[in-house]
Amino acid sequence: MTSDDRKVSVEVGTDSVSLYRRLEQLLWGLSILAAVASGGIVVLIGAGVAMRYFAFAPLSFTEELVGLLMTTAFFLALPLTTLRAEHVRIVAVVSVLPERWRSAVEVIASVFGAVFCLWLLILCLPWLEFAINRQIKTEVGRLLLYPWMALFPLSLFLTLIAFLTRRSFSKKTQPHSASAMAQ
Amino acid sequence: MLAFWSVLVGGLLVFAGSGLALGAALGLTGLLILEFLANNATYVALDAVWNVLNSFTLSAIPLFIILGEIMLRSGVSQKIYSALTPLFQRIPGGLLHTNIAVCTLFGAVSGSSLSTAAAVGSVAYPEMTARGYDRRMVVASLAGGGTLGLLIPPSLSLLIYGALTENSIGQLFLAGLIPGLFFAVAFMVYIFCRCALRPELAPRHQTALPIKTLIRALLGLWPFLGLIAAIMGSIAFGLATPTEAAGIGVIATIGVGYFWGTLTVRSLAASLFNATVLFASILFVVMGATILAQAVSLLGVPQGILDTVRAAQLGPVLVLILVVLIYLILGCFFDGLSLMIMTLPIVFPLMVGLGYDPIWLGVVITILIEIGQVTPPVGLNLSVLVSVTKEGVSLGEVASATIPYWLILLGGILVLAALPQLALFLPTALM
Repeated sequence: MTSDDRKVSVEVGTDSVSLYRRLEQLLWGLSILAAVASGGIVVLIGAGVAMRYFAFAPLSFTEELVGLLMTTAFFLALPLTTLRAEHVRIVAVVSVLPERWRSAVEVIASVFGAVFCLWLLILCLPWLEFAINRQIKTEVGRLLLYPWMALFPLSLFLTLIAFLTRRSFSKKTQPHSASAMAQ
Repeated sequence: MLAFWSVLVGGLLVFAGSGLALGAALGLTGLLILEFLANNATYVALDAVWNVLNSFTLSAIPLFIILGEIMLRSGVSQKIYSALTPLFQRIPGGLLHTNIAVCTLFGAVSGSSLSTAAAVGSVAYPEMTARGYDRRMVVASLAGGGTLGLLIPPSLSLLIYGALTENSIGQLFLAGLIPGLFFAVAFMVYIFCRCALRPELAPRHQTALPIKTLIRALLGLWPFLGLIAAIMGSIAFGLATPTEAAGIGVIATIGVGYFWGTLTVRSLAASLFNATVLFASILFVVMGATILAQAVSLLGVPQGILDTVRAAQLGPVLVLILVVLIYLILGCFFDGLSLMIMTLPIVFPLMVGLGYDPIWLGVVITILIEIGQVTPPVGLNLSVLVSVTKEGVSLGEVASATIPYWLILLGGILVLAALPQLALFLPTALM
């Protein structure tokens, strides 16, 4: 390899790392929005209960909006959870494999994850198109649904990218998933 | 049926065994079944997922996780521990009883077994080892006591069970209360007997504290006790749905945290962020399991299994024993909530079809996944406590010391099978 080749390879590597950092920042930003949506659920429920018991004027859309905010929080946080490999996983088999095999199996697992997201993404597009064409709304609050539904394919696309990129850049392995803490 | 089982078992072995996120493994298996065995019916997956994700009942999950996170970060467990410490100092077992009592109280607001074990463990372990308590006894009491967080309402597992099987969350919460308290008492009886026989395991405090000091310490807990009463009372008396109770619980916990001066804006923001990421990983499993459940029900598999069981004349008791054994075995490899979510589509219709009460079944399944929490190698309560002790106690030592608690939990299932009213009395009487 000549010094020019090496220089090009280093530049390409730096560009990839920089792209990865941007992706990570984007997903962090989305997760912060997800946390805001979670906070919104608390505020909305507090407001709903206060309106029901103190103003005797219950908010009709609370249940629907809470459901939509929860979905929003999930879709926005899912890509970062994937990038940080904080999912619930069965590592009993992988952890006893020799290092070389383990890396190969983890790459295959990431491809499986990407296939799952791609498959759902393909199914999602006509589903979203139908919601846009029909201007579907919620039953009680008459909230337009497609802006919320659009987060589903967006999240799947970013999760797909996260599945494909995290193996290349993130070598950190975590013995327990984040969800485990919830139990 | 053979093709279905081949795809189901093969798919789960390959996908989940590869270390793929469990939600994706379940979902991919479900999509394969829908595509190849249910005439390209993959389109049903999206509507099923969207409907489950938008469920108002499920939205209590992030709220209870946020509640647990805030309590974990705001040092509330330290306050409770200090208040309850003098109560048990002079009886055999001493602070080991305090561990169980604090886990019971913490479980009454957090809904999570691991948060309970981590929050109480981080306060209790350094204090108790400094006082000369046997390390393994300390960690085992925390591992056992931590499981109470999943059974004593509010409980995440009962919440998810109720949402996925369309049963009343209020009834499920009430059904978990007496068995949860029963286990707390059983754990304390075990600690008392063990420490009475071997006093060197737990040194006893010789000087009695004045009764006034004890009462003052307990009265200091009033905001916390008020919080428990508000959450449980509002659900039990139909004043609020579990989601509303959780939302108000979060607001009240923030108030208590500021009142006690233990919560900052920074720790509140961190709690919200972490809770949301935790919640995303749980909901991903729910999403995958929903796709698989859709495939399983579309093919009529639960009815097929029920017919086979009836034809084989196995009887409800034998089937219950088989289900318990399957959960005990799978509990070695899967974490509790995932195990419940992925087995419910088959186990729930089977057991209810055999005549078991769905509310009672929810409590039994929760106890079974609690047992999984203290079963190595995946037993998460054990692992988190090993890290709380900074590996001062090994996983093997914790696991062997926790065996009595494991047996008490298993014995509890026998008691519940013999006396289902233990679980069903409160929901029948109050709702």
